[in-house]
Amino acid sequence: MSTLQRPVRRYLGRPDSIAPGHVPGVPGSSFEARRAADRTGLLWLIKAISGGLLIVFLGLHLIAQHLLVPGGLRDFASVVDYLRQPLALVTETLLVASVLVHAAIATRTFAAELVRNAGTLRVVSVVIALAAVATFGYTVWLTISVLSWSA
Amino acid sequence: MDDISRQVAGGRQIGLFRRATYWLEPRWRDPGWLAFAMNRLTGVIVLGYLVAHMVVLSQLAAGPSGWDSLLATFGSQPFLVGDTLLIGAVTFHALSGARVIMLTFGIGTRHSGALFGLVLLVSAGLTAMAGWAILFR
Amino acid sequence: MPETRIRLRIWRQPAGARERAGFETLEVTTDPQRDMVLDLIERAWAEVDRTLVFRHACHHASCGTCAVLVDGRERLPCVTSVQSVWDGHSPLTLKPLRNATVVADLAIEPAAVLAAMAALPLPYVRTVEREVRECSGGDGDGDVGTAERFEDCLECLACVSACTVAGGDPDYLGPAVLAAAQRIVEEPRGQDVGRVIDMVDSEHGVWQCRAIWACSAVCPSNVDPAARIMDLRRRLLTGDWPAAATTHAPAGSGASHG
Repeated sequence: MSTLQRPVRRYLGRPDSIAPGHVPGVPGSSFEARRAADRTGLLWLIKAISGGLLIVFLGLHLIAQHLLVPGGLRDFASVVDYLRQPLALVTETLLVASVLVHAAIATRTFAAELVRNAGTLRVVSVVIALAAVATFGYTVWLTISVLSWSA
Repeated sequence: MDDISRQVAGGRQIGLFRRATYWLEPRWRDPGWLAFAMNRLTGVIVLGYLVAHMVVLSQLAAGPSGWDSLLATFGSQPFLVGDTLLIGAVTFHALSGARVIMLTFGIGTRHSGALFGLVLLVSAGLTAMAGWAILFR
Repeated sequence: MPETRIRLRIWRQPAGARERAGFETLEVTTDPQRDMVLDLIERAWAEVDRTLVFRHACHHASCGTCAVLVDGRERLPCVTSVQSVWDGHSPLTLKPLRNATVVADLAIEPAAVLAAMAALPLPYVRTVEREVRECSGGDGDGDVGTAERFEDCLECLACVSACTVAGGDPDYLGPAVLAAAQRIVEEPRGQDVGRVIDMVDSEHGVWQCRAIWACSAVCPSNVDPAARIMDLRRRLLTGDWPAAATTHAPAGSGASHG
């Protein structure tokens, strides 16, 4: 960890308060640069990777659901047949997971621009994450319901 | 909030409305602005579609009678046109995101505007192909 | 080219009275081929309205003091010729830079951003990228070695003004500070690189950039802040640091905010 305890030289030797108006939370004296590093870089990387995976899985999904099927739409029986193939099931599950991860991080990024309070942002982030997990859980339940449907 | 960021702010306040809409203020001289705004807009559109798609998929839980009756509706012309536009949004969003990733890794930094032009061209082409396949095949 | 009259549509904002701000049209004489935009501003102050507030210093694009919006685009008026921006009949609109507190009229308060750059701190002297060879009369093989020059950045804040993101996030470090940070990473010159990296690897640092590239488009001094921000991101993702940067914790280890 870098040490950030030493004070930084003041700009042109001018006195402490050189910004007009009140700046809440800023120490009144030297411009100490505190460590600001957070997890945003990791979130960006996950968003980028999930986006890349999305391109692959979404492409497969569009081909399987709309191009390989006469008429472009699967009826219920066709959906059941499709999901009974292990590879298809895994692909669709990974698609849902990557979509939700990508969407959740992107939504959180958008929210971070609106919410200035760190505590509130933490709450919003948790809500978004829970919504994504709940949606994934619902998708799993729906898949199981479809696969176990007997006429 | 870290101190250095607060110092950069210099006491400048930006209201909630402005924070929510700043990205919509046109900067036609900067192609990168259009790339960013369109990336965000298509993201919002696709997110909205995702929600709608989940609602529609929930009809699967009602079995064949719930699901098969919807197929005629979703196979109608207005929906097919909507599907084409949706593919356009998804394609642009994906390629635009790829552009940002490329720029982050130093690829094409001298040609960021031209990269955006390429993104527009390729996504328009792919959308046209998809539209032809959806609407006329 | 003969002199002609030009209307300057200038933003007037009395100090501390934002509510009385608005445009005012002042008319001056100009020779579009000879004059720079700053000449017109000074002429307006000298001949028309002595209460006009604006900044100027070196008059040759080395101090960055005079940057303003000329017809909506960030420029240094000291080196922007009138004929390059004026169509010959429309008023020329002059506004203070965006994304900064306006002191009065065309003058903004740069102290906050400049203090952040001083807090990095950005050394002003750098090495020259190319070798400098001294050519003597004989074999011309006298190599003077590595030369030094000043950093490109004028701290004019045109990039901050052009940045869309800075217009929505007042806490965004901005292209000027981030480009300066990248210069320290690229050429440490004895600075604590780890500390600089810690400052920029944050939500309001490099990860807030949306790759709009407006900053690089308006920079009058070839800093290319956008490419430098992307370079910082690449380094954060790949761990490509100069040997001096041994104190930075990897991305994702997290920390409480300062």
